[in-house]
This record gives sequence, C-alpha cells and structure tokens, in this order.
Amino acid sequence: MTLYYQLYRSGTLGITLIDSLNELIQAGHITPQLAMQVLEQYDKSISEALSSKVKAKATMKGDLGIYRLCDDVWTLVVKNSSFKCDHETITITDKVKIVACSNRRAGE
Amino acid sequence: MSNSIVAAIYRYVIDDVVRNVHADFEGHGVDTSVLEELQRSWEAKVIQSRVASFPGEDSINSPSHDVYANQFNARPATYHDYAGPAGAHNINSAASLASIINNPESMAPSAASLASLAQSGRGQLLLDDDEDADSDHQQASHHHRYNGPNNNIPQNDGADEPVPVLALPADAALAKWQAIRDSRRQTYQHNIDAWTNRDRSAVGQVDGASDDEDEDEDDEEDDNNNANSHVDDRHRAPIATFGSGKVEAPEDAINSDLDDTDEEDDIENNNEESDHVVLCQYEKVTRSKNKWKCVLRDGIMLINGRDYLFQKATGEFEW
Repeated sequence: MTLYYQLYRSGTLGITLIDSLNELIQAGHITPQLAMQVLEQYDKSISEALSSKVKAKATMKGDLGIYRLCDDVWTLVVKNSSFKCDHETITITDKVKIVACSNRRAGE
Repeated sequence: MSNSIVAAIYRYVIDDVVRNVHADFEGHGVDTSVLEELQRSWEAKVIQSRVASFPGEDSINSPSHDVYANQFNARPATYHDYAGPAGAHNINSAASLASIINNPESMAPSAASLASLAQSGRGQLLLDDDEDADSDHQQASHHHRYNGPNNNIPQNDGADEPVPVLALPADAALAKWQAIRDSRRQTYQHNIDAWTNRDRSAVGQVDGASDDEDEDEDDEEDDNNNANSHVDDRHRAPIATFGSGKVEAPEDAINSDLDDTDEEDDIENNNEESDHVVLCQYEKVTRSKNKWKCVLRDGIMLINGRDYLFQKATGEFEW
C-alpha cells in the first residue's frame, strides 16, 4: 500500500477531523486505534483529492525569511508575499509559512 | 477563484473517508451511528471554520448566527450539535462571540432577518439531536442530558463520561493519539487566531485573552486524559498547573512578538509560526544567488482565514 503524507492533517479538514475523533474517543464511542485508522484514510483521501480533483494553478512571490531543508521537508517562511490563484491576488505582509514534502516518496 | 472549489473538494474528502472507514468501524464492532455522528460533527466543524463558503449553509455560516447561537446556548442540544463538544473549539468560539457581542458594530445584518435564518437552522439542529437521542447511543443522549441547561462549556462532557474511555484504549495507541491531537491543537490555535482576527478588525487584546483561556482549557483537558481524573477533580484543581504554565509562556511570547515588534525580529528570532500556512509537496526548490524558485504541487493554503487549493504553484522568492 502506498504511504500517504500526514502533512495535510494540519489543514482545516484534518484538524476538524481530529477534534471530532477526539470527542468520540472521550465519549468512549471509539478507540484511539480506530481513530488512527480514520486519520490514515484521511491522509489517503485528501492526497488523492488534491492530486486528481484540483486543477487550480497558483503563483507566489515574496521575501524569503527562513529556509530549511530537513528530512526532505522544505520549510520556507515568506514575508510581504502575494499569492495569485486564478484571477484572485492576495497580498500578505505578515509571515506565511510554507511546508512542503517531496513529491517523490522514499523508494520511488 | 480557487476558494470556490474548496467546499466541493472537502465534501468529497469527507464522503470518501466516511465511505472507506465503514469497514474499519465494523471491524471494531462500532455501530454505524457513531460513524454518522462523526460525519455530522466533522461537517459542522468545517462549516464553522468558515474557511470557505459552503453551499446551502450560508445562514449557519454567518458570524451573526454565531451570536444568535451563543444566546441560545443555554439549550445544550443546539449548542452541542452546532459546534460539537470540542473544548478548544467551543471555548474559543464562546470567547470570540462574547467579544463580538461587545462590539455590536461588527454585527452587520439586521437582527430580524437573522433571527428567522437562525431559527430555521436551529430547528434543523434540534431535529438532529432528537435522532441522536433516539438511536441506541445511550451514552450520547445521557451525555447531552447530563450537561443540562446551565452548563455552557461542553468540554466537560468528555471527562464526565465515567468508564469506557479508561477501559478501551491500548496505552500505545492512546499516547500516539494524544501526541497527534496536541500537536494539531497548536496549529489549530494559530488558525483560530487568524479566523477571529478576521472577524474583528481592531480588538487585538481580546484575542490574547481568549488564547490564554483556550490554552488553559486544553491543558486541563490533557491533564484529565493523562490522569484519567474525573471532572470533580478538575474543577478543584488549580488552573495554573505545571502544564499550562509551560505552554502559556511561549504562546505569550509569540503573541507579543506579533503584536509589538516588527517582523524582522520574528525572523531573526527564528520565530516561524504564522497564521498563514501552505501545506504542499515540492517538485523542486532551486536557488540562484538570492533568488529562489519553487515548483509546488497539491497544496492547501490557509490564507487570511480562507482555504485555497492548488494543483500546481510556482514561487519566486528573494532572500
């Protein structure tokens, strides 16, 4: 079975899922083991959805404040950035943190 | 704009996850109604996050509805189903709602139309709750009833539940789960800050206060999990436990940096936490002198409290 990144658990969808699972664990309805299985399924579903269902292109510009490559994960902190998604441009003067895993998995 | 596809993609992912874990739930002998509850709770939280416009949910989605809901949170069923019993979530929203109430100018639409909108939403939510009570979840319905009309903080629920949470989990899985949950909470806190900031333009100080409260509650919850203590113990326990002090300090430091100092200091201090996060994969990251070029894929951007998705993105940055 292909392994999927857990990276997207930090997104809105992942965090809300974790909170919901946590409530069910606390109420005694499910075990942490089952919750982990749900999260793993989430990793798979969100990864597949992003790669197959999303077509949008984006461009980013900005001042790079921090860069780091560790264990094949890039972390970039950008300031004064502008993001262009389709026809919408968003300007952020505050920091934006970009966390990127390699799109080549180990062993590929 | 790519924000418009968010709702559809998220809906797809939720459905896909629920469909695919059905067998896992059966394998664990967990009733399907629990899975349905998971889906309902998950969807409610996503809608409440307001990271995108979810079709048909606009009335529930509006901030002013939150105010309305808060006024009615003496009715626990409504509040439960609206936001779910997550401690951090509810407490934070309650705090931010309180501040919204204190700043009436932030409530733009007219009260009358809101009341009718929210009324319909509430009817729906109450209906959901009835279904829940009718199902064979004695625990769930007990849990709703127990919290009774005068308890506004659903976080207490989890700890109130007496036995099963202690009996079931294997230690390893529980520890792993708690680690996941705690690390997500931190991320979540940043996101929440972004969302609340978006709703109220000026009132920075209130955020700080709700942050602190939130952290405290989280820690109390954590302490509870670890110690498996009952709710009575928690109420007696002093708030300033070792854990909360430990977490609070860096939070304050981050906030004060954000509020008071210029951003150069943040960078120089390697303070890289941010309200705006991009999660993605990279094809390549190259540098030529001080120019960086990145080719990124399959990304989720949380920018200004809205989510955006991209299949491919190029970044050009100067260091």
